[in-house]
Amino acid sequence: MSEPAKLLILIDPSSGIPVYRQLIEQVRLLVAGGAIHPGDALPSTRSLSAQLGINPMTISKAYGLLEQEGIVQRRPGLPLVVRPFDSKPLETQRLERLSEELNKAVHLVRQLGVEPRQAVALFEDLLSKSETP
Amino acid sequence: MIVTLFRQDPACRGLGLLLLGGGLVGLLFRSLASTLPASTEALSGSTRGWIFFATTLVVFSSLTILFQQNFMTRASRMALALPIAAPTLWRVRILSILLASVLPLSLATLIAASGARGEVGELLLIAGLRGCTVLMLVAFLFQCLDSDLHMVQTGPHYLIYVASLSCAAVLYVGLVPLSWISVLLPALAALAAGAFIHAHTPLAYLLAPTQLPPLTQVDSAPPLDPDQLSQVDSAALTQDGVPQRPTQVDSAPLLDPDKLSQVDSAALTQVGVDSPAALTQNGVPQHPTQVDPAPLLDPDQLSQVDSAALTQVGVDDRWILHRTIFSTLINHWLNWMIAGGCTFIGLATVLSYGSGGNPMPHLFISLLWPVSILEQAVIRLHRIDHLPIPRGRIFAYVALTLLIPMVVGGSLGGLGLLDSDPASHVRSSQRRLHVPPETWEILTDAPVPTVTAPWGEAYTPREHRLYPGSSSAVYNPYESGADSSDRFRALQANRAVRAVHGRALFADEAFTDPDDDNPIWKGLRQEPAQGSTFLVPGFEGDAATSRTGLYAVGCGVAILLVTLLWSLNLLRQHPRVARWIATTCYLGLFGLVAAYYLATIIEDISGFSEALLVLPMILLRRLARAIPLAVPLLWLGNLPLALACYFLVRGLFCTIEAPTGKVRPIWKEYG
Amino acid sequence: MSKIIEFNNIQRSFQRGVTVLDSVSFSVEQGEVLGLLGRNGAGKTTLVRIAMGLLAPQAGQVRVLGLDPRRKPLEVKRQVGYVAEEQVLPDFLRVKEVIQLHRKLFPTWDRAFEEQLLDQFRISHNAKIKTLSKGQARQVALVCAMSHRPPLLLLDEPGGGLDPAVRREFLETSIRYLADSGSSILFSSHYMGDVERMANRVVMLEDGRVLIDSDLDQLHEQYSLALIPHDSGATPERLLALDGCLAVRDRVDSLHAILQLEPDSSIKLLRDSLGVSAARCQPIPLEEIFIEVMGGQR
Repeated sequence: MSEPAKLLILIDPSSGIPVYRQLIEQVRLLVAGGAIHPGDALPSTRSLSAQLGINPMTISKAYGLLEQEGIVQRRPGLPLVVRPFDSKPLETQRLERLSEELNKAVHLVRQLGVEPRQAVALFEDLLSKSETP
Repeated sequence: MIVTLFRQDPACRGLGLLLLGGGLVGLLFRSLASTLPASTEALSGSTRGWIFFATTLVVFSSLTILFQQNFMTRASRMALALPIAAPTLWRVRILSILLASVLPLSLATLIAASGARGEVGELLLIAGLRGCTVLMLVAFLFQCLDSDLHMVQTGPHYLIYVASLSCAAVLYVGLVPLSWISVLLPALAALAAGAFIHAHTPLAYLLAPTQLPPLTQVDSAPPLDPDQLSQVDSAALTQDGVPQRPTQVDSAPLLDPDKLSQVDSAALTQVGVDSPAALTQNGVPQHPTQVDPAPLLDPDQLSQVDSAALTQVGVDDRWILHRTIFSTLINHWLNWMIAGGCTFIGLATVLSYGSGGNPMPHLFISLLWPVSILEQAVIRLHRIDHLPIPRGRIFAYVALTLLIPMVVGGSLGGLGLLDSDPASHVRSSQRRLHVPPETWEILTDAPVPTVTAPWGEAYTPREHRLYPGSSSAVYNPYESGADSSDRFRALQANRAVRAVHGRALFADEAFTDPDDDNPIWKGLRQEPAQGSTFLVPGFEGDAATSRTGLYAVGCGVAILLVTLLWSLNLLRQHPRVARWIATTCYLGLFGLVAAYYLATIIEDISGFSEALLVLPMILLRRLARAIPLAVPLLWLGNLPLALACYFLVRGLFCTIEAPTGKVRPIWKEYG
Repeated sequence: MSKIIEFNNIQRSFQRGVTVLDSVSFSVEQGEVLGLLGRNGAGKTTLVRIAMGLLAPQAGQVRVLGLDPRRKPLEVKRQVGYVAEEQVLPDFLRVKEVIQLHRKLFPTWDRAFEEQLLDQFRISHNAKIKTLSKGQARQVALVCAMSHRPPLLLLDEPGGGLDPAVRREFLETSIRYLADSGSSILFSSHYMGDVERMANRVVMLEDGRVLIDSDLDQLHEQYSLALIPHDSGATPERLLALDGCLAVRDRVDSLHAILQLEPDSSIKLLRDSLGVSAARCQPIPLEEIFIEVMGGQR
């Protein structure tokens, strides 16, 4: 079931976004992106707190909310595991998330007065560049 | 700019106060000098007193320079960072030091000399000015090392240098006969030293020496250089085969310059899911079952560990606690001096008491020292206040490290007294009869009674006013005049012996024929050179105890006074007491004691300081007579008194708040 | 959850008329990390010292682990780990001697933990305290404060004057300890990044009073930064007139308004009252909140 997967968590305490929300957001992303598979175990509160250097209460708060959302499952005496999920709603979730981020870019495009055509070209260019390893 | 430099100099800042002090001292000596004869011949033995006066002033002023004006610094750190040439900084500094030390002394000298007449005035001027030039020389010499640094490097060698220079200065002022040449010589030497330093001053001062002196201490650990340390440590780790702790923050992406800006202060962490390797510390895997936070320590567990830990405590540990408290609170600089000094004080007080002299000067040093050391302890208390050490135990360390050496010194002095000559309480030298000060009399608004001998010869003792213009005075009823007959002096000696020892062994002998074999007669006739004490067969038994009652009462009073001073000092830090009231009371009492002590230093100079010196002894004797207890009971009574006082002060010490100011050695504040 | 520290109407002044703490009340629950914020001279250090029993409150009660620190000073000090910026270790001792001293004074001393911490900090046992750098000395202080596994850490400006690397290590060590032992931490700091990492609650003191006592996450959600394009018709004056607008800054690309509202409500407010629809709202870091809230008081 659980195999050691690399999971990349980025916490920026000075971003202004509450740390627990950053955590939830990123676990969601990792799950959505397929970095963590259903059945994988999440690190314990204690170890994640030590690794990230953040308050363990914050982490248990995030885990609690993730459990409420139904993303993870708590089993007595065992680590949290990611629940099996239906990939269909996840697909829409991913797109929602992407459009949220792109919206910011749209704002910027408007503010800087860049031609939409140019912006799209730039985006495509960036996408193609990121494909090469 | 220069004005600002002068204004920020600590020596100049204190100048006003120093000048005020100098002026007051000058006025004091002026009033004394006006009572003196004009010619030096008539000055007789008191000349020694004048030199003593000058010496004391030099010592006092030197100490003022030493510790309050940070004599070893040449510039403040603030000034070092400014574009000012080092020679300018040095000139400002040395001028400030000189101003602050020489100006008050010159002022005192001028004021004092203006009150004296003729040759004595000149003598006074020479003594004072010589003090000034010697001070100048000493100030330059203190500064002539490490002329490229912003402050002279301190260390044991420098302490010895400073101490021996100070001693040499005091000896010069105290021993070399007064002459204008002796004033000029130090001034010339000072100029030469100043020129030397000025020539060796670079354009900019350094904060630390370029070449470090070799380490004098054999230190098993090398000085900690962070780079070196990490190298050594990592080497050791790999040698032992223990892998280094995996860094939790994956530094590789952080160090990527492109990504650095994105990541900002965020921590980029790679977490291995369920991977024990990622959870290791120092290569020791942490058990995955330790997930739940441990519960709070419960009392049972606490007490178990308590007993377990206590069994581990070795002798070493106890010494570390002793050392920490002692070195932090009592003195972390010259620890050994405290015990030695306290022993010496105890010894000196007892010896001066027992030999019939005036113990007041010693008594007051022995009062002031513990008081000031307790004050230091309170100031430093915050350094160990967060540790769970009972306050009562801390107080025991502070109090007992002072009191035990004093008691030991006192006991040693007492042992010395057992062997001493009991009759020495009444001595004569240079045609003067010396009696213990407590046998003097006090009177208010009345003329001094004339002593009349049975054969008609009469003498009225001199009166010593408590202060100029006072209606109260003390006098020595056993005094005789310069033109009194030997027979009269013998009568007075006899009366004194009777007053001191309570026995009139030879009441009749004083009136017998001068050719008789009367011991007092003989003593007085053969005396002049080194003086004589009255050795009379039959004295031994009683004499040793004659002063002990007074002594016991004196001890009690001293205990009460120290307690009062300590309590007032501690009350200043008490959370429930208005600080300004306690501070005013404390400083007032302390100032009184200090002023009194200053008066005792200059005892020889004139009548009134002698009166001040004698007065407490007279009052003490009255007190001793008013307490209807036998001598052993008086002594025993001191024990509960001391215990009660100890617990009173201890109680206060346990409730005070440690003052939280940052404590830095005085000489580091400037520089 | 049990209360580890309770401050109840604490008052304290040092001079007549100068109140340092004025009826301060809050408590620290078990397992909680409380960040004590405030400008210099706001009374943070005094409060920590009162909790430690080093100072007595002139009015009000303190309970630390259920005990009065003035009545039971030893019991409290034995169960508290204390590190302060201005703390002075006995500089005439060596590291191992300082550790020995603490070992003797604290009955619950955990030797293995002490060794582990010393190894982690790479501090030589034989080094003299006075040869240590500021960071190393603070690390020794932390070893002394944690090795008896106290249920409460009182840290007064623990990172003050330290370089970021040492500060981070200090922080991580205390966090790891916290996660391991479930103890509580009360710490005062000016480093908002540290506070955001460590604290789950913050108390802001201003002029000796509690200005804010809030869950850190909630605090974040109460404030937002609105980025409003210049051409949207909003002016700094109009923005400042809004209820809940703390500050407005005119930047090159847009106007930045700090609002005491959630991001969603902020957008709604801007749209409803100013007709601005192009505004974008962001959460703001604690540092900005601190500056705006504290700055707004003067």
